[in-house]
Amino acid sequence: MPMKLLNEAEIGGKIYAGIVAELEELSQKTDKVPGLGMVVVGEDPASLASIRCKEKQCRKLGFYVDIRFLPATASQEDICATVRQLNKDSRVQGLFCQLPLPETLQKKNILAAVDPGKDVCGRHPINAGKLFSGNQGFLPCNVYSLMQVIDFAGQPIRGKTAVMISRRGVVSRPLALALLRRNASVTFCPVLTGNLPEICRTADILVAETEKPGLIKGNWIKPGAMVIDIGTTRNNRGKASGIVLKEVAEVASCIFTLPAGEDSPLAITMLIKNTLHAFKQTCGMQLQH
Amino acid sequence: MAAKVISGVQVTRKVREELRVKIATLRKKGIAPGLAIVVLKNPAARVHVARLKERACRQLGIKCKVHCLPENTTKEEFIQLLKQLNTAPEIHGINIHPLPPHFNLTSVSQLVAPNKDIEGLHFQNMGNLCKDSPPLIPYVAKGIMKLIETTGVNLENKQAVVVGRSELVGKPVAALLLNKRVIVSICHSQTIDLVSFTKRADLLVVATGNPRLITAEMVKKGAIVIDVGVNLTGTRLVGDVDYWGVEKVAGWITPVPGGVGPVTISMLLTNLLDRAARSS
Repeated sequence: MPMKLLNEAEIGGKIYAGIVAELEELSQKTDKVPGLGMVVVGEDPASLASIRCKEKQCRKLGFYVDIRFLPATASQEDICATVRQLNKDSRVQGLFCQLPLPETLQKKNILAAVDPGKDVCGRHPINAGKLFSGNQGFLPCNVYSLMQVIDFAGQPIRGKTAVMISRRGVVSRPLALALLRRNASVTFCPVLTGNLPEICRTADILVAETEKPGLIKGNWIKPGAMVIDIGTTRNNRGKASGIVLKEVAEVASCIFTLPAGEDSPLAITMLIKNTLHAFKQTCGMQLQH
Repeated sequence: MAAKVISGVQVTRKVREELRVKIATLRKKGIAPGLAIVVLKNPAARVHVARLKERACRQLGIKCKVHCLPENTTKEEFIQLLKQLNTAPEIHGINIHPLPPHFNLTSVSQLVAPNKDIEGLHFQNMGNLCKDSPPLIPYVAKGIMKLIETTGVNLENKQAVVVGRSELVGKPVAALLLNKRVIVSICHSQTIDLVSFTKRADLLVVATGNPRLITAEMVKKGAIVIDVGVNLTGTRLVGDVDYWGVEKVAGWITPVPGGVGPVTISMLLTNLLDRAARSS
């Protein structure tokens, strides 16, 4: 069986094509267009670049875009007031605050100010709670993209065993819940114990979100398993892979490496897809995941 | 050798002592904790549980009001009552679980004000469960953690298997165990080859509602087995674990009744007191 290294751009392209087709279909039913609001605090160059990229993508699709730039000195109250304005604005169905926010601010309070129904980045506690309880809400873009990747790879989920190797679970925990909702059995390893290889070998879907480069060896993999390498990025020093790629590639059916950061092209595509979902919801159409 | 029995009754007695101290402290600050229970009159078993809760409150000196509604109560009437309770200053927590099937518990739970939710079923409170120090833990899960603690076994680096993925038990217990650096598997009705999971478990938590689902062959020798199931078969209450078989293999086991059940009411009240303390 030929080994498949799943290509981010290819999958992203397919999802994008789906969005274009859906917009086409929607344009026959309504004159309205989806709208995305963005709140940017400060002038972090990476954030500004990311915002421009998101803006470009949205404009290309004919979205309405409302970007609010606030100075780095803006108070929590200033930011929340801007967020509330966008919450009320019916032209905007999706809304997010660009991260990172200046460290002096209480990120938690600002993220919770966003209307959960417009929280297309899936950062509001209510959306986290919906995911936890198995209800339909907005998935964080990274997690949403991984679920799409699994489906694109043709990897069945129901009744399969997923194993997550992750200490902090930034991506893995919500991903585990999303997989659980789709009827996978999930094992979560927050520690690197002696019998880790044995646990990994039970996995039909193995998710490595580990800070230890090259931790997962070829003989830890169940033949035919799908492997998702999330790795971790620390201090922007690039990404460390948790797997020994060459070895793992010989055993796994396919491998996907999640691009670093929350602003990868794939994550932005998912942000747009979530905005489209939000738009359809306000139009009274069915939300599909 | 037979398993040691984890007695929910004994644990409850200790927790109640702690509750008394907390209530006295609140009193000094001028806070009288108040609980509202909303229950539908039928079946009688629900009213019975509500009365047990009321009695526990009376013994501890917590104000408790049971709203016993007729069976044909509409959702609108129910919502109306919840709205009243949400704004009543003397009420610090609202208990609506369990509800009859024609009420969707998940959607009704969202109508309770998040700061009066003591069950841990409001989305906002559930969303915080994945954090390291969740502000509110669903009470049944909290009780289970308490029972596990009493064994004194250090589970760090060990394997736990949770059978059942409910929002009140399975998932919160899993999240809490992860915070304690335990390896956790969540299994459920769609799991293929359940035995292969349970056989590895140093800690097995079962909450499925299938009488005697877990048999002796499925349990690792010396494991801690927590049985959350309460099933009425004939006139007897049995758990999800085949007690008499499993107790020969397990190291620790909770009986049904007398295991998880008694602890949950105390934990509901613990959550209530936390709410009351934060209300000032």
